[in-house]
Amino acid sequence: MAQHTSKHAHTHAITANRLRDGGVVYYTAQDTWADDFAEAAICQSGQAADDLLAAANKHTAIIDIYLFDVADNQPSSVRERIRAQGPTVGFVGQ
Amino acid sequence: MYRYDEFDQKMVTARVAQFREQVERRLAGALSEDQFKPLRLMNGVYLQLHAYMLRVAIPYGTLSARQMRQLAYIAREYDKGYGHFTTRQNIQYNWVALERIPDVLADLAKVEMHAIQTSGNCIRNVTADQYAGAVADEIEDPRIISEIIRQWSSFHPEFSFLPRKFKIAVSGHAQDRAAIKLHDIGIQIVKNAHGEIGYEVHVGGGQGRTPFIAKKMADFVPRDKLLAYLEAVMRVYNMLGRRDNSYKARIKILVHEIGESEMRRMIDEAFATIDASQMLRLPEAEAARIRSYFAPPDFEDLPREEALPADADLAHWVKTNVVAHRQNGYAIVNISLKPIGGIPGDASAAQMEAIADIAETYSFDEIRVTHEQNLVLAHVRWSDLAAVYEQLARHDLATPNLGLISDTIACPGLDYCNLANARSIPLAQDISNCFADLERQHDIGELKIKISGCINACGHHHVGHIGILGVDKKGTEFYQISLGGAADENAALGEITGPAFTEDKVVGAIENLVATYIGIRHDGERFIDTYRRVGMAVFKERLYGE
Repeated sequence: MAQHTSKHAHTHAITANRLRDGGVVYYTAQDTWADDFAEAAICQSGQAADDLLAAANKHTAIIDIYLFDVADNQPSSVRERIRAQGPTVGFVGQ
Repeated sequence: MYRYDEFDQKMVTARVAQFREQVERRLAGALSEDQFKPLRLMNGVYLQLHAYMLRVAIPYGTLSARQMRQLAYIAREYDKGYGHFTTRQNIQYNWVALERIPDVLADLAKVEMHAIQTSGNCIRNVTADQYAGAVADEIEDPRIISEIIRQWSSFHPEFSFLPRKFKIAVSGHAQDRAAIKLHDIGIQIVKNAHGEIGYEVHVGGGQGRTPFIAKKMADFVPRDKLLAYLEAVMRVYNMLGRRDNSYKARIKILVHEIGESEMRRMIDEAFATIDASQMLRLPEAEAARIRSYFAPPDFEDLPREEALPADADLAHWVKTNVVAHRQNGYAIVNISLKPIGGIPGDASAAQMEAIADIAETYSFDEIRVTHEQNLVLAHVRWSDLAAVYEQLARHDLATPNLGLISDTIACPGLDYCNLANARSIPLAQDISNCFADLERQHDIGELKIKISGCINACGHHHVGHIGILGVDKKGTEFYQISLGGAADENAALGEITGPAFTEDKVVGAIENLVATYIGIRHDGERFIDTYRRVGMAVFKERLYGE
């Protein structure tokens, strides 16, 4: 499984892709998946993160589930910010 | 162009039906992701950052207008209205839903296309010189042997589970436009002293984290023995290539570890056995049948023309994007997919349809994809150039920048790719915008910038005159610059200048390198020539003040 957490980070969320269309989704506190990062359940490192990940992994229509670092209520890495907001470049012809 | 026979069509149609069933079983939960992943990869389906990506094979980069229209239809119907032409002469769709991919494959099969062997550890799409059959002094059209290799390597049972992916490129001209020395196998068509055509075979080239220029393994493999020779190379690799470490699994590592002469000895030994069996001797009748598909089109007998048009914009474009044709009265037209500030290699559905129309009307119904992410109309009458230019310009496809600083190769990078560490496309756009003035670009002359968003080097940074590699440093994008690479017949790997730059400093560094070159170049020297003459020190001093 992909690892997108660093040992220095303390706050995390869970993301994945929808099986059906590959769309980016976030695990919510209501045990559902949302398209918007703002709805993601935020957890602390350690047992809380492990428990949240275990619950997320019970879903079968979702793939490539992993924890990533969050800081100031935003994804910490460029990669996760791009996943949350889409490509930073436009589409040709649009 | 090659046309499917009944076996080709049957195989492709059967594969679509098979994958449709596999997708249905996956969506129903009957297959786990671990079980399904290798199956989808065998059909060119990757999971990227935002969605699934489908890679479609374009054998040796040749397309008909009908096929291009179907690619446009797929872009519009199943994706976000565009496609991305790649450095392996393929096209990728970035937003296709898994549940619709069987329908996409069925639509591709209607026009003799597929996504088979565009992923996975198998022999991938064979690539070739985009000027095949059109340029003067060509020894033979490389698409003939490329098609023969395609048929030999498709579903080859012995080579379906190789240690790693395997790429073959073919050039039929002394000027290498297919980057053959950067492939697992590079084939140069040659003619011996007796006037017989054969193949010079290079093995073990590649980029990625450990780049190598291929080693010449054979000076002259006779025409009817090439498949036996290729089978020998593959057999040695399949037996000895590492399977314990994917970073060391490519044939280039094997050649490096056992040495060139031992590799040659083992290939020759395997070749002797295979050749003796005569199983892979190519029957002349079959070779002739395939050759007939690539017979020159019905050219008119026209006078030689090379005078530039009076219109300044048209003349500018002809001078930059149009190349001499072997046939009097005809020209090779390069279509730049690098408009100023655009995304390298991307084309909208409307652009693809326009190109299909132009190809049908003016270029014998044929389009080529180049490994530098542009397109080519191989056979345009000189007298039609003005009409072709006018129609291309209407669709933003006539930027006169072939081979210039804004004609950048860039991988999808962190905007799309699951493996990337940094973005590539925005850098290509920034560089293009910085050097937007075409007069300035022409003054700089040929300068090939190639950008990769990670060490896998899909953007060919190792062989850029200026190469740029994106790296991640604690969540921040940095860019390492290298100089002196080349992908042509004088293939060379670039040398890293020094510490990496932050994103906001890269364009300034490129301007600095260009200014240094202009300050010290001799008459007629390209950037790469000046670099080869003076070396790294002077450029490094200007970049870092050492």
